[in-house]
Amino acid sequence: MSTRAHILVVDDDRRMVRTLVDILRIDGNHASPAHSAQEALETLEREQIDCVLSDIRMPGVSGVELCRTIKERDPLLPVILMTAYSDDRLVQDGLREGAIAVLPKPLDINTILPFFSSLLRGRSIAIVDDDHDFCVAVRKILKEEGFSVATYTDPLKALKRLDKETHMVLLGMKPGGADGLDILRRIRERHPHMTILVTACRGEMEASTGSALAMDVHACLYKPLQTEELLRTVTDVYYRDLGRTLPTGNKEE
Amino acid sequence: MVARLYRGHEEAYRIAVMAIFLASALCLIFYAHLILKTGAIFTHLFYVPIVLSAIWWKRKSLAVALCLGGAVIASSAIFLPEDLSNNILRASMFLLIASVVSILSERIAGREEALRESEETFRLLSEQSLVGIMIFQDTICKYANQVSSEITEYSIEEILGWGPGGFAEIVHPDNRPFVVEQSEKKQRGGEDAVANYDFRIITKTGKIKWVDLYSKTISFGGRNAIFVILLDVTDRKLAEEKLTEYSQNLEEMVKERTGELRDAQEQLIRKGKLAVVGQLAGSVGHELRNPLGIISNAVYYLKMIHPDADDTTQEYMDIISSEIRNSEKIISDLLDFSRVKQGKREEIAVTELVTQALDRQAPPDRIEVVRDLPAGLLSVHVNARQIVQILTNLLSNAYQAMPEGGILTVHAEDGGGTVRLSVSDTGSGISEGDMEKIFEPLFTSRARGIGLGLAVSRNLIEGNGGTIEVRSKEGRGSTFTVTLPTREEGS
Repeated sequence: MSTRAHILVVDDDRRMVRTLVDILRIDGNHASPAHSAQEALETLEREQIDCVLSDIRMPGVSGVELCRTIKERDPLLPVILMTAYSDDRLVQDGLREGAIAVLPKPLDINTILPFFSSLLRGRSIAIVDDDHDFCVAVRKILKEEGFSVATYTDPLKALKRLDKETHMVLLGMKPGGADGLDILRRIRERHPHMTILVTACRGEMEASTGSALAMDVHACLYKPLQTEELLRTVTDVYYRDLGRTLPTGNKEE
Repeated sequence: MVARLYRGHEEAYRIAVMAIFLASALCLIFYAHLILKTGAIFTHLFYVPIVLSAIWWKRKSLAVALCLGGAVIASSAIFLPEDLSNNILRASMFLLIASVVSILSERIAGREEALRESEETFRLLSEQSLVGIMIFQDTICKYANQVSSEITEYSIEEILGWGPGGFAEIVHPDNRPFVVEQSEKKQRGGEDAVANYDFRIITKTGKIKWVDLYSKTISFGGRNAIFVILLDVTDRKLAEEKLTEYSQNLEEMVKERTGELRDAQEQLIRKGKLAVVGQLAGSVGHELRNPLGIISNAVYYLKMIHPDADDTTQEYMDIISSEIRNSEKIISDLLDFSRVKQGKREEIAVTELVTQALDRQAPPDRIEVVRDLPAGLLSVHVNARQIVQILTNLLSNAYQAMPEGGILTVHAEDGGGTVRLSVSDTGSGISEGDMEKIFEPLFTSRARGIGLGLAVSRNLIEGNGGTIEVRSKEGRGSTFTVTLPTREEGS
């Protein structure tokens, strides 16, 4: 898979689209132009797009509506909105429709380019679970989605191998929970900012959920995992993590 | 029982007594004369009824004397004709005694009546009086009426038992020296004393009462005494006090309301300008952001594809970038100003706010920044982003006031429920004429800028429950001080 992200730029102002597309291309990304929401949706049907960057105020279908439509069709596709209007309501609407961020215009290109370049690069996930079959199955699903996956059935080994390159850990809680909680604590000690998702059998986690949440676990998934739910949660957490580097139009959510 | 009977039928009682006495006297006389044959007791017995009747009936007693005299003369003429002349003398003695005693009795009765009337008058005056009446001699109370007892809540017996200086004891300590001084003057003769004054007393139950006192030096038992009239004027005084208080309050209220009205009017004017600016900002500002964004993108692109452009080209591209940022700043100011945003407030340390602002608006090379932030300052309850925006604006203004360099001081101190945070520069200062206008929208003393920075700052700080003020001396520098609330309003 290519490490060059393919970004769809949507704005009714042709010169805005043109300049953004050119800048993105220069920075080493694929970029496609679209001048309306309709055109954007058509392009999405045709091409493999990794991220949509869309203006909010456009004649016809607005960026917020476009975002909603995209999320209905492909919940995993990250959407970033931008607007010249610093209207809090628009920002809130956009975020509610699942946009990673709502950026104010003029765009601060310097802070946006790193986001796109890390969109595909280094999407590495570590799966730590003593259930070997589970590891294999999940790895297959995530790999198809473009993540690079490392699996560990031995938590102590995982503890040694986890490094800065690992973006996210999918940690299985053993029945009884104490063991998993201990591993969780030790990962958190070494990597205070690492994104950690916990998988557990329903009923297994209740007792230790409090302790797990206290250790800043980003989400908790229950086995048996539904492929769709797993992907949505993983990508959602991943993109939102990534989106934190973006200068959002409203920091007072 | 007898007394009661007597009171109702005084005259009948007297006649009965008289009749019994006369009857028994006649019996005794006849017994002495006819049985004992002695003249020892004869007419002497008649003196008693004559004197009695003279006291009782005054001149009417002459009739009794005449009757008895006639009886004596007649009995003498019948039984002892040789003694007739003696008996005529005896009868005239009766008349003489009756008239003398009746005259004396009448006089005494007249005096008694006058005395009784005078007493009655006095009793009515004093006891039925609606004012307290007291008489003092050598600071001892010689007389006190019922009302003075009611005023002081001490019984009359207690008042009379006070002893020297007793009254001064119940006078309120604040008024005591004056009252004592006045009473001493009155006791001496009272030429230089005040006839009427009021003061407070403390009653037996501890109540404080206002009394109005009228006094006069009189002669009592041949020596100077003070005749005092006391009026309880507590209600009147309280009413007066309330009236005074009310009129003062009224004055304050009027002042307050006038101030509020003036503030409201100023705010209206400000908000009026604001509304116009806001509408303009909404339509123009937003529309400008798109072309600005495109210019910004274009410059960015040019910079990217010409990393090795010559110095002048790079400098020019930097100029364009920085002017785009300036324009963006103006638009943001316009939009911030037009929107009354109520940001979420949180507890935040003042040092944190200052650090963030200094990070965003780093000082130019020739300016030295002094952070004078004492440890242990209370956290403030504000919208951090807005306050940082205000501070950034103040810093930017201060830097611009010191183009040749200087010292910028950020100072904070506890202001009691607020933290007073000031930004001082050693720059050009603000002229007196400009001082009034600097917070007004669209006022600027600079060639550049549209004059919204301080207006925005004021709007934001007021929205955070704080204030902003300025002190400045032309040529010496300016100090902008913001007050930031340390806790949520209303708690």
